[in-house]
Amino acid sequence: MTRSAVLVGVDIVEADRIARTVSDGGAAYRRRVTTPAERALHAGSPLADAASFAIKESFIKAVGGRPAGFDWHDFEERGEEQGWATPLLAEAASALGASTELTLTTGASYTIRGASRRAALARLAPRENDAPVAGAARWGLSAGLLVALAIVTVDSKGAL
Amino acid sequence: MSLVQAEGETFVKPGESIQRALDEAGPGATIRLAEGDYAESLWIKHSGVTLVGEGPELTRLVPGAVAKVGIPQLHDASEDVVSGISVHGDGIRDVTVRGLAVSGFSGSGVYAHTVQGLVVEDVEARDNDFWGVYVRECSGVEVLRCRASGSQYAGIALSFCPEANALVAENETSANAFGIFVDNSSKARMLRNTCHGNSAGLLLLNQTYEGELPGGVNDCLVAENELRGNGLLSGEGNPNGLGEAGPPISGVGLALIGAHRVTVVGNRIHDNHPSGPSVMGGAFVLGSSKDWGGDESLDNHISWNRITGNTPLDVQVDADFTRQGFAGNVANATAPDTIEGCAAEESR
Repeated sequence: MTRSAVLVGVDIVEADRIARTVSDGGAAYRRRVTTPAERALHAGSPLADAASFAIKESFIKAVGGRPAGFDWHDFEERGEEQGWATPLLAEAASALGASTELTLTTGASYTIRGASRRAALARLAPRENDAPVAGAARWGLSAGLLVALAIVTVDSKGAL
Repeated sequence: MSLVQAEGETFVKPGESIQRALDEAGPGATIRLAEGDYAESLWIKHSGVTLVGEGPELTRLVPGAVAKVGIPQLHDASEDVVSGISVHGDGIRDVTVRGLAVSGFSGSGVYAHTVQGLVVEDVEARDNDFWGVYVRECSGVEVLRCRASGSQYAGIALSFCPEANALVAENETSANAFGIFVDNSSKARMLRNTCHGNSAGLLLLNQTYEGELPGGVNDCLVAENELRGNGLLSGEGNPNGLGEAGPPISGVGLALIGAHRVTVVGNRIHDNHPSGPSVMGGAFVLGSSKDWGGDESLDNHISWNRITGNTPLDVQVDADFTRQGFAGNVANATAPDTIEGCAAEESR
């Protein structure tokens, strides 16, 4: 398997479609896609709920799809974008913006766990099963589209 | 008849014969119909033909002069049954019918058979006895922004199209046995349609009788449809003949019977109440046809649908749950009582 330093995923989805799904699904949608901590972080924000879907879809693409045992809670927002991620996200967001004219305005860091963490490790560092995996994402709303960009990397030196 | 040729297009006015224009223009023709009523049935038998009206409110095709049509008879129909527009011919492909109303025919409003590349767009098919838009053994099909009502079987049907590669989108169907009927057809996408006031809004059925073509409903997408208020009663013994060839059905929004690898996502299925006996007990039904010429339903994915306010059940599943995926659906009354991936509305 080819070893990558950073995994990248992008998701672009019509905002109206996701808003409709969030509205129709209500609490069931939120419970499935977001963790309790995320719901506390963005209480009463349908846009944040919709963005969570796009962001996690971009993480799914970064780790290579939905592995066996996948759970939406494998990805959990944990706070503001960390310093390590900024140059990587800026470079990727710039490239995405140049090709799509879509702007990413909001960033956050993510914990990655469970089956998705194992899938990421398999692509990043096949011999380091215990290495911590770090994630970060940016997203934005442009021209009726929700666009999300995720990066995933392994913190083999505990520096992230 | 005075037909005006302009840049490859033929213009037809009321009182002139559309069929004559079709026959004279031949393959690749664009036939433009002026506003008004045309009393005739049509046979499009050449490839590349585009038949365009001024819109279904303005250009209307009604029964009149009967075109001689070399097309297989509609199932269960006698020889004197006449369809409004028949599309069929040796190797025929790339035919478009757009912007007109077809009503009152004893067969189908539009009947296409073995066509590769068919677009039916902005057509109103109303009160045609058997079918509104009936597409059989075709591929590369688009049925878009049509309205189909008042037919004994389906408003829009894909029948025995194993490689349909079909897009059926943004149509409105009502007062038929089935709003949209995917009858032994595969690789079809049904998106953003509204089906109301039928006995079943959207039915995907894998079931064949002896001597018919191979059946199956595989690899379809059913997304973002509005399936509500389907409470007519169809089926055997029905006094008005609605769906009389089939079993009694009423109160069904969406049914997948013997379907394989169908994804159902983001649909709203609500306020469907049966008005009589029905072989299906829920507004969303996932079931088997194995005992009557079909198969079990396998490998289907049902996600993010809102299925509420229906009687007697919102969801009825008679299928192997290990071979289906349910996720993120909202539904109150289900059979079995608990389905992982279906949450009750009260917990919103």
